[in-house]
Amino acid sequence: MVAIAKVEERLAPAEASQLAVTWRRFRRHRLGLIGLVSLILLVLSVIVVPLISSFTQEGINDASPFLPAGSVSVLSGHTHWIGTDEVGRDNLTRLFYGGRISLAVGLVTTIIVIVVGTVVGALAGFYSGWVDTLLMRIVDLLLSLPVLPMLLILSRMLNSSGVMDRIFGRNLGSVATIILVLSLFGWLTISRLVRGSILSLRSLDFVEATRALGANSRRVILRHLLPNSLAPIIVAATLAVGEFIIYEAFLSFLGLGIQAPTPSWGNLLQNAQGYATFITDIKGLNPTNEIRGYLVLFPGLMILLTVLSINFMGDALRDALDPRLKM
Amino acid sequence: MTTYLIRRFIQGFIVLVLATFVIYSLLIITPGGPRDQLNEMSADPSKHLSQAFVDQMLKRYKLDKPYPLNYFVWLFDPSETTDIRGLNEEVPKGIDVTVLGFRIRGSGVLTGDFGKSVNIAKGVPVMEIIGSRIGYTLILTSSSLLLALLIALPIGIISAVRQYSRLDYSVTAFSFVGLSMPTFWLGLMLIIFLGVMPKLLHIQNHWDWLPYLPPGYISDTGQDGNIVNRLYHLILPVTVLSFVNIAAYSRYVRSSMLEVLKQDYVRTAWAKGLSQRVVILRHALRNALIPVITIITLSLPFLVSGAIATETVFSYAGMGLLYFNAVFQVDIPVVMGLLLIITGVVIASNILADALYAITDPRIRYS
Repeated sequence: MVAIAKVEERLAPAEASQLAVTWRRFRRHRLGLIGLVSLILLVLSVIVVPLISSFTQEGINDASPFLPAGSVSVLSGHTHWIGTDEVGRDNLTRLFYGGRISLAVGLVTTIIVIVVGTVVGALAGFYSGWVDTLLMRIVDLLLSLPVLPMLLILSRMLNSSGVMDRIFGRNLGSVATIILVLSLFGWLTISRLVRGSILSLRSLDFVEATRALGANSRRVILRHLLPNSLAPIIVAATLAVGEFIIYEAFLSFLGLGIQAPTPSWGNLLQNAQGYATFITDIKGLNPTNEIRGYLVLFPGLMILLTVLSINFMGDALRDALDPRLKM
Repeated sequence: MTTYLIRRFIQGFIVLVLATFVIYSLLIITPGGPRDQLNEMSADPSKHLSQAFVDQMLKRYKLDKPYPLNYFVWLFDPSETTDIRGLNEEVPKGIDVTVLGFRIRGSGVLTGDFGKSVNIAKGVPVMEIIGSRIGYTLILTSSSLLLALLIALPIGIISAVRQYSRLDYSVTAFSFVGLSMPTFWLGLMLIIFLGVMPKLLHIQNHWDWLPYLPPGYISDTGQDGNIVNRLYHLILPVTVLSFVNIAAYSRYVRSSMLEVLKQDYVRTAWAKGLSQRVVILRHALRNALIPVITIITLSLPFLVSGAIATETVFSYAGMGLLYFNAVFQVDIPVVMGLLLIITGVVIASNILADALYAITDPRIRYS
């Protein structure tokens, strides 16, 4: 094994240079750079803002309900920069707490999806035969189902069955549910990408050469085939983060995703809908007959900003990693 | 090609059976469904439910059969041949035919009987509910799809022909925003800023000159009588749906057009001295449209299934909202009926897309 590694080392180009080339190409992409910077700022702010905020996310009765933006809390003397919600919680604090949850759902789901998709795709592509047929039939079956309708059914079922609540606790149960549901349908495209890429690489001479040097299947897959199919995986995964964030927001908006009191951008919107889109008091939702557009504006803007940054970044990554890849 | 299509259809049918089996099994164990409601009712002593009634209900909702069997009863139930209409009038349902000396009697999905709604509209046949909604959805989705194509095609072509122009950059920026936009949020914002806020100004400040738009709310309550009123209510939902579709389609048209414009035969056309109009519209566009046709065909299911996000935000009484309500209230017959239609259309349009691809592009051969 040591001998193989040594030969490979001498034959393969240094890995750092590949990274440097990618970074140089990425930097030229102005929108991609903007996306990267704003995404870093977003991630930092959802980590930091709740820590330095003078209010807590459950801070019921910190202040009067529906204080306008910029008003000062009578109790603590701190400013509510974008006002308070219907039970007097600070909107800004909850917005960034919600961001933690939304971003975490996007990231964790993507990681799960990459692992599952890569393993399935690599197995199917490398071993072909009945393994390939079986796995790809399953993928075909799942791909021919309408995604959003299926997500609704699954999250409706898992949320009310309370299974995940029992495993992960009341606060994280709905978070775990939505991650599971999104993962169930998320790995399909990645597994197809990986399979296709491995199929095309498998018959190339360098793989033959590695085998001739005595490398076993595991080594061929992990050291040679997968690293060479990384480019499409990275691009697809980046774009998937944005997709998952939007799905999470929509499911939570419908009441089938993250459950209150845990905030997420989606259920902040669900909550805000009643106070912003009814003038007359249809369901006893909007007692003071006022339109509070700002309650809807900010969570949505955060989603848009995040997904837009991710999409810019994904586009730039595609150009940087492999100029031949198309949209 | 014919054998290929036949094979695809058989595969599609198998997928449909497997998918409905999985979904049905999931729905049966979803809490809040008919079994839970029955348990709750029979546990309540004030309701005075007789065991006979409970058994009858279990049978009606096909809950009396053990686990995998109830799916097959949903497909075909030989024991249920009559339907109760009104109070106690029994009418035959399903099929009653004699094939090769065998008498086949029964009801179920295979005989075209989708059952009756359990929660949403108790006792109304599923097909009747879907029939009353599908018209609304078709109007909404087809008009927004058409509008999107009418706008996206020229935009995509022009921005490909003038690549890296200011127009091209703004089209690209626009389509990025459109693709990153949470549709339901866009709907909410439009309701607030074009519907509710101007209306409030009407009421409070008496600004009678200020126009405002109705926030959807087409429902089957009868308020949608005349056609002008209907169109008026369509403005916002169609705007939201078109916005997203324009973003996606213009990007596809642009990249597909760019691909074609680079090719040798287009350069030959230029070299022959043909006018820009002829080169672009007759030579390039025709080939550039091939992948676009596929994309459009693949979005056909959206015509039928409706836009769940947009319909729920605007309370637009189409298939999407119906589906959401049915899932939320675990109305199994309605959910299954809708899913069968939607999945069927998804599979059919996948096959259609492949077939059209081969027809429009003779280089593609299926074996």
